[in-house]
Amino acid sequence: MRLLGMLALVLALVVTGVPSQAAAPDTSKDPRAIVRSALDEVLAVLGNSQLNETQRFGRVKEIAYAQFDFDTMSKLVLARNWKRFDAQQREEFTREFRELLASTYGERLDRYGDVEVAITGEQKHKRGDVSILTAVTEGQFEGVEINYRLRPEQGTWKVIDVVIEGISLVSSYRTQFRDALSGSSPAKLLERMREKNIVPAGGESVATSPAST
Amino acid sequence: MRRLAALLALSLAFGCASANGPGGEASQVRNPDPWEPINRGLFAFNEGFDRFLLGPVAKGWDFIAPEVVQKGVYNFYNNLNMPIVFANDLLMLRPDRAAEDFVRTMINSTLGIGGLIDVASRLDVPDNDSDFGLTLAYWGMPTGPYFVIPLLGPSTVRDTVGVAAAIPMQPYSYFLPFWGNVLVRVPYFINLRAYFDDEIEQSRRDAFDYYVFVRNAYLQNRRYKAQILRGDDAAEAEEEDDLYYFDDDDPDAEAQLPEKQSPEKQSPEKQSYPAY
Repeated sequence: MRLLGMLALVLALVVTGVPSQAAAPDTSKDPRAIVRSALDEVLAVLGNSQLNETQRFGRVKEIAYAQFDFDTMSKLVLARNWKRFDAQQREEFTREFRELLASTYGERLDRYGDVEVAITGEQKHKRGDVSILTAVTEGQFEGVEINYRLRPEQGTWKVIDVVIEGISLVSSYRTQFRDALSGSSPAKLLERMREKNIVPAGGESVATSPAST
Repeated sequence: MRRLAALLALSLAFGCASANGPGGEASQVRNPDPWEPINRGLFAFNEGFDRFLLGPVAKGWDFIAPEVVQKGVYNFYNNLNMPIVFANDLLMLRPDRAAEDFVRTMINSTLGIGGLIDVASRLDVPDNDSDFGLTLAYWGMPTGPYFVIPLLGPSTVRDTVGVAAAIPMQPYSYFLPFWGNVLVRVPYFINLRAYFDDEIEQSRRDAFDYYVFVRNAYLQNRRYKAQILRGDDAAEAEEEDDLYYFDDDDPDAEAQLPEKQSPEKQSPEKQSYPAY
């Protein structure tokens, strides 16, 4: 069950981090610097008490949108099912998937405000991707390893996967969507995604426990 | 030791029977869950148990116990579990890990007041989570099919053997009758459920298919841990290609899909590599 908690953190932790004292000036080429500055930005937003929760979520979303390549992620997540989607459906899927991710972590953003993350290393992959390895250094999830996989794209690097304790976000959604698509159609999947996304972020959290303190 | 040897033999027999069992499930080649209908039933049973018994009790505990208390209980049980971790370090012939875990246990049992406070982590003593399932993985046993253990949750055939083997590895288990052994673990599960209540409820809501989500997360995490122990990444490389380059990033080029990227066309030898 510890595992479930960690997976639920996949997105929550995408957006939190420890501020670095020396922000690298030229971050455009170095994946490590890109991750660090994104983490710093997010932390600054979370620590900004002048913003309310909705505003903080909005800002964090902007940062995440800038760093994540949702087009590539959508393709990877749908994998061989991608070809079953026509051009318009692909576009719609990308949009809905992005929303799905956003609401997943936006819902409980403030819970992870005190999380601290340190960059612990990087790993170059055979075909050009780079993983930036990080670890939580504070709080309930101390010691949890979170890796961001980045891919070079048009002169910069974009995040294409987040892997927490070996659990890849792309793989997680791929298996779920594959299951949902077997014996079903892209149109039906999109419909389900729309339904899921309509529920306002945080709207359901009231129903959980009397002690979500 | 004889009991252990018997378990090992038993597990290897299982392992051979399911030598083609898969590890992760990112690729479509190998079905990690041939018992899915049964597993879904067991999963539904566990969910029901959580909904009507474990969950409510845990939420009650969550309500009365401050987080620091929950963390203390969590730490206490983790410390209580250390003999198992230590034993498995030894079974993997990893004195480095065994030494770390011995030091961790000593520090937390003394300075950490019987394990309530995880002082060792403050002192950067590594937290190795060895268990018998991972020991079997370390020595090359494949996972076997995915299996949902009633009340305990996601597992595989290999890890179920590991769970069973953990009981005799626990020194205090010899001083307790069967029901004592069961009861002593009850607070652990209630507290664990409470400690991660928010995350569990959130995953349940956010998952597209919660059964598939849990299965995938479990299998990925276990494979990752086994890979770290074994220090090899051959299987990872193959999975990775499928995960990150399933069509070389060109969705319109499926007509020219290279043969090697198409798992349906892989050679049989490739399909039967042992996964862990």
